[in-house]
Amino acid sequence: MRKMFVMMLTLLLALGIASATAQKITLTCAMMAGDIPEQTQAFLDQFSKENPNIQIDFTNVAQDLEVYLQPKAASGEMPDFISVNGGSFGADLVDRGILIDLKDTFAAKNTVDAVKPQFTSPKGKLFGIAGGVSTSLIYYQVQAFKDLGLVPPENWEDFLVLCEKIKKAGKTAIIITPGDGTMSNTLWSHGFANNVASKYPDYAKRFREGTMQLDSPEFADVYAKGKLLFDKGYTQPGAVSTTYMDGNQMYIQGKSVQQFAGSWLAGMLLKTDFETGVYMPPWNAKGKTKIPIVATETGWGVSEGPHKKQAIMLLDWINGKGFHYYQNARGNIPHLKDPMGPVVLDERIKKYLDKLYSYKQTAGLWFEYIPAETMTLTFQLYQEVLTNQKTPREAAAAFDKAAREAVKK
Amino acid sequence: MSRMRLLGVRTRRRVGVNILMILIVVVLVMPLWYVLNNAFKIEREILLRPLLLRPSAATIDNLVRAFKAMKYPLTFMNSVITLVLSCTLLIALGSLAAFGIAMARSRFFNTVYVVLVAMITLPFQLAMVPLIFLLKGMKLTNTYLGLALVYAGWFMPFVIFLYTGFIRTVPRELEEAARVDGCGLLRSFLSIYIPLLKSITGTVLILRGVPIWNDLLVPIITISRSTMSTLPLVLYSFIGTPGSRAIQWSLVFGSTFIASLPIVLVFLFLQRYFVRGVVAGAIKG
Amino acid sequence: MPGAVFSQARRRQIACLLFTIPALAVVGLFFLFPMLRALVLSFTSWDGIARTWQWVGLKNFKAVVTDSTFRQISFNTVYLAIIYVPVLNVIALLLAVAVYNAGKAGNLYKAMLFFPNLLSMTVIAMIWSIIYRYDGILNQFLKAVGLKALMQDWLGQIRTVLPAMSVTIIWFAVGYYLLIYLAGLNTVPVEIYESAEVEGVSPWQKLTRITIPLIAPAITINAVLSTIGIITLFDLPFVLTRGGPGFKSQTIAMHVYAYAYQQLRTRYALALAVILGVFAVLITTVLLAFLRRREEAAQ
Repeated sequence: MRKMFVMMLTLLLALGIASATAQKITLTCAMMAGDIPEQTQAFLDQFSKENPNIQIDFTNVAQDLEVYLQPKAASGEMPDFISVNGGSFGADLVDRGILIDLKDTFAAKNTVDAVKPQFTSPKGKLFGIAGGVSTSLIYYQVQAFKDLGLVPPENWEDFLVLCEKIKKAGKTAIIITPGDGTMSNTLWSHGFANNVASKYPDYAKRFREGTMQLDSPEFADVYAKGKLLFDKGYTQPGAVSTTYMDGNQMYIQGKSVQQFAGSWLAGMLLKTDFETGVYMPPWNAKGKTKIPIVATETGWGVSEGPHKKQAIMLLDWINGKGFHYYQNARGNIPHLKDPMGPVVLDERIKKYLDKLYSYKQTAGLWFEYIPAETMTLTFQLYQEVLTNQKTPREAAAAFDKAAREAVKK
Repeated sequence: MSRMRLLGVRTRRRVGVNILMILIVVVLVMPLWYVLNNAFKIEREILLRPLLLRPSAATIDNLVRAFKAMKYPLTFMNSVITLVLSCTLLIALGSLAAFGIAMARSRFFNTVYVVLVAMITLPFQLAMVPLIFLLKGMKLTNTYLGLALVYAGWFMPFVIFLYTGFIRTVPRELEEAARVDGCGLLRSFLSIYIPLLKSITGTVLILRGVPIWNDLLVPIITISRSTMSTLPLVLYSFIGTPGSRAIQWSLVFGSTFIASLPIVLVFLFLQRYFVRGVVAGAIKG
Repeated sequence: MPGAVFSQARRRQIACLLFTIPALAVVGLFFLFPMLRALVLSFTSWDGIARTWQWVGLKNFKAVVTDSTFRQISFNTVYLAIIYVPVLNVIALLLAVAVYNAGKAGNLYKAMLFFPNLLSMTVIAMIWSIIYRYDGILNQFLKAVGLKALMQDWLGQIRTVLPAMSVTIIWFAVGYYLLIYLAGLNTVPVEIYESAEVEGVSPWQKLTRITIPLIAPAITINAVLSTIGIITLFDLPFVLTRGGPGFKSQTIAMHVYAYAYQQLRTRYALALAVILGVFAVLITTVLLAFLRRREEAAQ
């Protein structure tokens, strides 16, 4: 009897220890990995290999991140580890305690300070670690430029002249993508940077407080420039409904001499069959200094919850030892002080970066500072302007109204 | 003599109609050929020559990658379980309720029926937002049962409508005779009516089964764990809305192809029943 | 004792009640209850997250109705209902007649025409957004047959976006309604057609004087189903056009989603959803009344 009892006890103890050590935590992970879903799964598996107690349940988010996360935040079903954009949405979540403050994490300490402000809330909490540095720029066919005797222009007026020359040669000068929100990364952001941010360097604060004056000729010009390119026939046929992927496809097929797109596309757009170069978008007026975009890429955040410790482990790994898996797959610009591994970056981008970092005044990308409620409005207004439903000034007024109302809430 | 002429007219008409129909069908099916094609092209070719009618170097690589990336076996199983559970609920509860309504002869039940039928016209959007909170409160998010209950609640009125219409066409003498023999209501339902309901059940399965299989709206608001993802949900994460951040065409077409394949195959094998099912439902409805 | 207290009729009533209760419980809890909740909450200031809210009466409705986009989305929704429903049903009916007269091959046509209905709407929208691109299949086809002048940006122009979207939706739905019409056609005794032919009735007259009145029930069903379908449609137009250009192809159903998840204004979403519900009920009631009367006249 005694023996049986002891045996049972030992067995139970053994089982208990076994189950405790085999205790697997499953992290729910919702990331925007649209262009690299397989590589993302691969490096998450790598993390699980190095940390056998942590399983990762990875969901690839295809639509707008905010649209995906909002109902989850509302019903308390946030994934443990998420992709998050710099800007008001994440700021709101951390100030409400749904995301945690990442200030003291290893990842935060390994990130350059330049990419922290966009991920810091009004209350001073760091809600996300940037996924990289991003900018938008103009990709162009080197040979076409040579054939037409063109050089990358330095200001808006010269840019128009260049486009006219390309048009006269019977080609499409530049691709724009009003079909979806990606036009905000290019024309809108550069327009805002050179027209408005130049005048109001504290624009981010003004947006937060609702004091950003947008019903103005400068802001209207942001839309007017796009309309000008469209009306003059410098853009591709069927521009109004052209979306991000359509635009990229068109450029790769050689259907346009230039493509206005983000640095995160360098991997795809620099590998064309013809030689492609890059230059800084000249949205500045003649005589004025350019204000280029230095912004953040979609980064990562951690939700308040029972698994936050493990989620922080994942965060530190992605921004440390495991960074090169992610960076090599993406080919994007690193944001870390110490990348801790081999970094893959195209020479042309490297040269561009050297020039970019030499500018004293830069601006961020749209989603980093406009209210979350106005995010779909940026490109919808472009569509209305291009189809003559609104004048640029009316579009500016509409956006101004929406931005103020968002803050009033 | 007139008989012969009649035949001639009909044959001529038949030929003409056939030609017309072939043209229409070809045009109609063309977009599907496009998907089929591109699913087998390598990424480079999809990017450069999407309209090429035949892949120059057909590859199943896209399908394989999509299969892995979608976690296809798991996702497929989730869709199947959800479908089976939802349909079981709808058929079991719906037919039973329809029987109750059809057999009762009172104002009360008629009113209930009318209210139910009116509910068919109500848009799901109206219930959408509070539904998430309800599911969360009952801990039914990310569960098969949760999904099934939402579909059951949403489509039950239509299912009851179909069943009631059908049951009402069955002669009352059948049931009355059973009653005289001492059969209780339940007994007559189980032994007499259920066998009769086979055809209308087929209709219900098709009319509601296909929309449930393809539905995106309900999973998108109730599922957040990738292990519980259904086929439409994971497909959406690959296609997204046009213009989602840099998605690879090869995965888009590959995933579209393998996601649509099951239901297309089922349809090809069972198309006779499909068609008969919808047709039967329409007559009775 | 129960046998003596409850008469057989009473027992039947109770049994019937017991039969219906499970189904009603599911519908009540998972459909009716959330809907009523939404109705009530649309009169409050609930923002979708907070735990407390106040009664604000008709304020949400007023805001929704006076919003600059309201006119556009209402117009779009009504436009689609008025254009799409008749066009779809006419095409489906004509195709049904054609299939009916096509003899043996009719089965093949039936199957092929029903094909698009099997695909998920996301897939369909994705395919058609590629077809409608400026360098897409449609324009290439027009160029190839010498209609180069007709090449245009189908989804990017105000005047073509709604018709183009309707075509896509019709492509998807026609097979389904065609089958229902076929069922109706099959209920018409062949003798009627035969005697009509003997009398030398023209095809047009056959259609309008004989066929249509005799399949009136099928017409009613299809009209109601297709109306409800188009009013509540979301996935397809959302993925196809995202409501653009601007809001030119945004419907009320899409805007409920926009309010809830893009503009993060839950109470407006609820108010608009209520308006959509009321509209749906109204239009189907009117439609039913109109069609039922015709149905009776046909009998």
